[in-house]
Amino acid sequence: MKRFFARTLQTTFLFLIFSGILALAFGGYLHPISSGITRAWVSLQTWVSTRYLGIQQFLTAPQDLAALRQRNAELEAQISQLQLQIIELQQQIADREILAALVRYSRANPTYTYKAAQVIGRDPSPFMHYILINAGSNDGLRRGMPVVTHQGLVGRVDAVIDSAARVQLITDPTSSVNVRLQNSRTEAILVGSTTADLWLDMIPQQAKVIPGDLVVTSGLGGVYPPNIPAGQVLDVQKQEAALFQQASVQPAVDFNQLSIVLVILNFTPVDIAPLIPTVIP
Amino acid sequence: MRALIGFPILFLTAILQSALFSRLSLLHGHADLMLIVLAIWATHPRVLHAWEWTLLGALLTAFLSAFPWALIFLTYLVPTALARTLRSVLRSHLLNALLVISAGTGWMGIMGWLYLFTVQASASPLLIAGEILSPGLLMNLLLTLPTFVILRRIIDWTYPGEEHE
Repeated sequence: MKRFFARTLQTTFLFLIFSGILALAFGGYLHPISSGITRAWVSLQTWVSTRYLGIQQFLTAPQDLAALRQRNAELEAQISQLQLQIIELQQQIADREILAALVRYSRANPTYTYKAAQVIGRDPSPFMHYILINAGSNDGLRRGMPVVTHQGLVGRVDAVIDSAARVQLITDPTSSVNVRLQNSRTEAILVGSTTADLWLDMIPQQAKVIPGDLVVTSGLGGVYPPNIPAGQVLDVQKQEAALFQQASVQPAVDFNQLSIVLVILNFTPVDIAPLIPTVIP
Repeated sequence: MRALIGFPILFLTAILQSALFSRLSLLHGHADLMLIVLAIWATHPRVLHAWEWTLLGALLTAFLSAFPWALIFLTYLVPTALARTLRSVLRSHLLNALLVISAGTGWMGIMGWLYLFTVQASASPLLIAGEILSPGLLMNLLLTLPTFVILRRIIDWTYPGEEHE
């Protein structure tokens, strides 16, 4: 009975304290205390939350890095592919421009039939100025056929197999082309050199040669058709004691950028070998 | 059987030479990848098939070039002979290869001059040395190291533990 009385007293006391606190709270008397507690609580929770997020970020970061790296690699691969595509497209545009120029050239010179061929290589020897093209006897190419571009004379076919041919450029040291200076109608011989420079030789002393004169094939000898541009006179060397004048020539064709050429199919070079006199014992 | 790897390697070398390296010229000279490959191959102490490689390389080059066949074979056979001699004198493979490539480039110049002389299109030796051989040698030496690294791996695979010739 005594124990029951003591517990009831305790409960009543606690109830009164609790009611008093509630009454003070509702009356607004506990606001400074509650706001202080709330601030402390929020600060603590913020601190804990920040640390938690930091730890979570730290723990999950490797996965994100791996994903990012993968994504980065994918994008880099995509960029490489796009760059390749750009290069291919640029090449196609350049090829198309060259082909358009070649078509214009072939339309402007309808006398001949042409076979377009791509330059696939160059002579491995630095002393020889030859190119390899991807058209051969299957395409109607024969030895000696002239090779041109829209810019001018390239050379002539030197050797042919089924699907490829080797072309001797006019810059080759063993090449010589009968040419004519367009203004003065003077005949001369255009020769190549080891350093791919072109020289006009056998120009008569009395001929008037001016830098800038256009050099075209003369057709003499029957090796090349006439009137194909070969270059322009750069500089004239005239010596009073010499039999002939010489001149350096700027090639009409940019041989370093040669990518597509035209082979003239319906021009048969004249073989003058039987006409060359031989010594009879 | 592993020595048969020479066929694809030399075939690829000839293609690269004609399609790529012959276009990359400095002044009027360019690198001779075939000479570099043959020199590195022939100077290695364990390599047994240097002459076969040289003949094959010369044959492929002769097929692509307008240079006379005999001179092409001479151009490559003489450096190989030098390489086989040098490897018994000097121990350093790279040094031997560099010496053979340098001498081979000079020899190629002599062959070129000889050819031009015979076809009466001779150029001055000084012009050939300055405009063709010096830049060619420079490009050859630049190309030697990467080629050496690749070929050493192939040689180690081809002749793993065989005795010196």
